[in-house]
Amino acid sequence: MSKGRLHASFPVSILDAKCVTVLGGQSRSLDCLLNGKSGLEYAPVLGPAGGDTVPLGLMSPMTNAFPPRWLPHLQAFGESIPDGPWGTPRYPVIFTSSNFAIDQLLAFSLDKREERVPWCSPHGCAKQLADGFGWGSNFHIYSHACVSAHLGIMHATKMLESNLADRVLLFSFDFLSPFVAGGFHSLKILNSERPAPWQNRPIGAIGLGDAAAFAVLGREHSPFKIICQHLGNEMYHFTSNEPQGSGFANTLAPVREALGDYRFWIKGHGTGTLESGRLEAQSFLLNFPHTPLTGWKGGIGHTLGSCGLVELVLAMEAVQRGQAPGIVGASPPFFSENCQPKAFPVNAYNGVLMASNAFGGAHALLFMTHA
Amino acid sequence: MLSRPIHSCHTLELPDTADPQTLAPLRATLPATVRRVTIMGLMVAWLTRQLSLSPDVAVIYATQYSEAHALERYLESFPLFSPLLFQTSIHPGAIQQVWIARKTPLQRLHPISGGTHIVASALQNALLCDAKQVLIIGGEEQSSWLHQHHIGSPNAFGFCLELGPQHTTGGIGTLSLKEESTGTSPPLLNFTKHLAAKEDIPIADPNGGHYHLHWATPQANNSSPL
Repeated sequence: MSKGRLHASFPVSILDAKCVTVLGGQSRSLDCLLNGKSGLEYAPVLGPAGGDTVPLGLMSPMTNAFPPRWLPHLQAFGESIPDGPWGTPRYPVIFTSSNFAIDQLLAFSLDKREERVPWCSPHGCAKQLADGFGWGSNFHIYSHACVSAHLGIMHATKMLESNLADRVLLFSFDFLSPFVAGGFHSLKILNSERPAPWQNRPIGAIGLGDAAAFAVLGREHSPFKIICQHLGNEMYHFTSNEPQGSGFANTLAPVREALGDYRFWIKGHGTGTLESGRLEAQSFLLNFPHTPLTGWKGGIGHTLGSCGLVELVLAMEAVQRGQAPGIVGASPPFFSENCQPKAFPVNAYNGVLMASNAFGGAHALLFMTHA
Repeated sequence: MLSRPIHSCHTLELPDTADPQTLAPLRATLPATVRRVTIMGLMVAWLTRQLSLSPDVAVIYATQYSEAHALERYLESFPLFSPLLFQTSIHPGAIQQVWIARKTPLQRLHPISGGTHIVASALQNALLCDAKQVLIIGGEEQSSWLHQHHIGSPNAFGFCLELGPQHTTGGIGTLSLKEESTGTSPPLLNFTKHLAAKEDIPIADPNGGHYHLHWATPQANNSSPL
């Protein structure tokens, strides 16, 4: 894969942003993560249909309910989004998710309840949500598994850079269902073990979690700015990376050149799988040898398509507190020496490098600076 | 004004994809060793088979229902889910199948979905992307039962619109963003038919303005595999 140039270097301001995870809002979530607490609990992988118990971060038990069991969580979270002419010209909404309301499609395939149908496609789900929040029809939908939120941020950046928007609302969410939990279980990476990101151990495992986040992006001044973004797709294999780590190296190279003298820490992807975890940790160590690496999917679970934005909001909260959580759920030995098992001070830094990965060897990086 | 030249345009509409004869010519566009490709993957392989890809290429992938046939089979496998069908039912499986089969890394992949404005969303993505070459690939698989509930397509179809660098000329037409708020919001199938007929069409942008597809030459640049 060619190293290429950065795919977005226009600085955008994060004017407002919040998230909710199984541990609570961003403040409560960070409290828990700083104390090493995990919200993952063992639950049947197929919800009401049973199955093996696996580590899941559920805001409520998985059911076949209609309306969707997660809708009240999302509606309550939506109350925190600032008022605005969202979904009208120059104020677009960008929905990003991996799952949308796929729980409703699985339930519909089983019970054929027609009231589920309007939710059963990505655009149907987005329209239901937009109508419910009183937003207009000027919205985009991105779905690229676990880098979905990054793609939404990049498109928002392009719209602002081209003066096609005054502000952009990014709305990202993923809630678990037997569809996705059963899928990852069939791949054997969601199993009876708890996730221990970047820990060098015999068995890899992930945990999954419910989450949602929003961000309002614009050009005005803000203490938090995203100053560069980059993408890559190895296209080596559906579920594994090129074994020499070229995908990580090639995606990091232009970002490393762009970061110059910034002092930063890294929030990696770190799901708890072994091979991609080893490649990711070693690649960060090689490119940024004295830079702390942390990740929080051992505490909130892998929140799938929303993870890029959820974890960005948690990073902003960490910066404001001056303390970043360590790698929740993992302990030495790690795949690289820059892994941080404990919470660490971040006052001496002026940036955070955020990474997410997805099927197909997809890589997404963004760099956030703060005043 | 944002604009890009259109360098090539390929479209495809298939009859019943449950008939193996329909898919046989598409399979020939992938290496013989490649198996278990979805119908959408086969269509993408056929639509892109003659393209010369720049290292600086971006793919905008637009589909409302994605791998509907694979998705139906995955749903039907409940509660004994298939790992293969799980992977291939995930957006954007079709692009990944083809690019992995051809062993071609891809720096920029922008998979989108959408309803009324999915075409406008795809065109906006293409015009804002700073890659030298942009492929807008779209389409749907023929579902077997989802379309009966309007959550799948009754037809299999696809298109690939190849665009050149921003603000350059040449090619067989032009895609541009214009300020006047006008135009329609065609669904993907109708857009595919417009492309096949090389019709000048204004596409309404809900963000204001419209996207204009202008063809410099009327001759078709696509052909049917059947």
